[in-house]
Amino acid sequence: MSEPAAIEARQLSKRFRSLVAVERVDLDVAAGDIFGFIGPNGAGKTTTLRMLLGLITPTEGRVRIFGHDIEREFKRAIQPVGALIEGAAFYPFLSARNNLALFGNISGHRSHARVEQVLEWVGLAARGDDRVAGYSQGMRQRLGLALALLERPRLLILDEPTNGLDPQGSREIRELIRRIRDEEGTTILLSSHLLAEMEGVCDRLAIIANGRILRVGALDEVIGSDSERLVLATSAGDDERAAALLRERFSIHAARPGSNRLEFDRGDREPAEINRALVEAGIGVAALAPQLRTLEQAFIELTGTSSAVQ
Amino acid sequence: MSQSPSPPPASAATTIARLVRADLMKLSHHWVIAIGYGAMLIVAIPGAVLFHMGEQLINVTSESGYAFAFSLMVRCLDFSASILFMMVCLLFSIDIANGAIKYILTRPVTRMELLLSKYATAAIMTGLTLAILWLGCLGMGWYYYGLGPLTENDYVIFEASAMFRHIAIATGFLAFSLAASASMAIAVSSYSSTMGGAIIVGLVLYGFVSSLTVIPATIGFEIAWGGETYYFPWSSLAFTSQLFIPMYLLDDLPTGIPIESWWTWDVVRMMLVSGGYGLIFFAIAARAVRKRDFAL
Repeated sequence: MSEPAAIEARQLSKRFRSLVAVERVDLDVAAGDIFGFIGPNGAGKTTTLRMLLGLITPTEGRVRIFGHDIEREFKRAIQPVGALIEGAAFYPFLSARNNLALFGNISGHRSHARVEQVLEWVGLAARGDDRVAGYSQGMRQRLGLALALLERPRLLILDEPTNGLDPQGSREIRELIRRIRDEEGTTILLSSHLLAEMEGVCDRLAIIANGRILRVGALDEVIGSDSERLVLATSAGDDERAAALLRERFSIHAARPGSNRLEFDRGDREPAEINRALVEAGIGVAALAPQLRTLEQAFIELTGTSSAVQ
Repeated sequence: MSQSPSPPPASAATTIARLVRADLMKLSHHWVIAIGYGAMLIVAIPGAVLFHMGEQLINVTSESGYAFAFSLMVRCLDFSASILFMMVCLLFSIDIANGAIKYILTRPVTRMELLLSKYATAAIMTGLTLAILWLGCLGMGWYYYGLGPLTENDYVIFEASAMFRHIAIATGFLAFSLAASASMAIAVSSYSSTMGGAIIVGLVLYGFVSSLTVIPATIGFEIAWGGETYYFPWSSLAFTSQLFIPMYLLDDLPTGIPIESWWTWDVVRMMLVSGGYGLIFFAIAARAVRKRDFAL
């Protein structure tokens, strides 16, 4: 029998009076995936995550975690889940170790070794006996991640996990996320508006805006490529001749963003035809390929916004 | 690497016990709780000294440590009940204000288990309050007069064991009113977003309920039950003052009046009023805990 999906959400909607926060979201996260959930601020990411975790009840739709309905079988569904949602929050008068021990006790997972391991992973082992009141936002975020990992979750749901971290800290957390998946086999749902960090970590992702999923799939499927636009790399000094040939032979006006590099829309011309003409004219062609897009380009194209995207 | 399926979740009783343990752990580290319980003792001791000085001044002595303890308990009870109420107001608000409640609610814990665990923790806090009150007052009684029988001119009116038994029963009855007051505190706490807000709103509500004593005791109605007629004054709705009913009965002992039965209409009324309030506030708290979006 095949393993059930880590997350299966169907027609998930949430309305707050007249405000539609999330509308008919379908989400499938396969076991073992690192799944990115991206969208601008206010897109409905956190509301969706809160419904997935049973923190709020959907107006419509249902959620299953590893085959268990989050409403009807809450305890079974939530048992294998670790979560960091809407920023880390702890009892400030307790130390990091005591906070972890307290939450570990609630589920009955009292392992001193595991507490030390997760503190080590997030780089807080040396400060584990300090009261959380004295922690910076970045340290609290790290502690939140440690708590999410404490009970060896099969599914980790992380909402903006690198909030408040410096670039070095963000990189460490991204590496840790990959390591957790590889070493512990944890499925990870990662929500963020930081596109660059999602691009480097996720296997699959969904883009959400205005409460609706706009695109979902593997990273390259979501990004796609612009097959109409080609990038030509020439041998040194051949770029001017190549530009002239394209203009005269094909009426193509190429942009020259860098030395020995041209970018142009091919129109109805086949890349092979262009390549042949260039080679026959004795122009050194180092590469001729469709221009690859970035996640940011795909995102802006889909959502029509870049204001909330970094 | 694939993971093995999760073990089945713990039973409701185990989950509640774990939540209570977590509550006790965090409360034991919070300065408000240390100060609250400390204040109960700190007030009992000078109270006892002043009370004893007053007795010496008018040449009327309790003669018995138990009798002294009864009178002292009546005087310390109001203060201790208010302190307990404020501390119980923190039970939910400490989780909500720090945002930690979202971690609790994303563990295998149902909202009803969470609520019941707060009631269990409040019961432990109430027990601790009564223990402090009991030991503090009996301790001071023992210090001044010893814990012997109640005598007059060497004639034993009540044996020490009888005095002990009655103070134990009265203390048990006190738990009813304190539990109703704790239920009100939990209800307030479950709707609050800050600890200070919970305490302020709680005290206003506590003051309002207490102010119902200003309704004249003569206004009321009669209840026919089991062939008897019982009088129910509206002032009884000030359930915070019902706390003193077991103490009034107890206070008869040092005057030489025996307590024939604890099952008087006054005590039954105290239990009914306290139980009614307790259930109403439980329902109010349950509504908040089941419906509220605590992560907001």
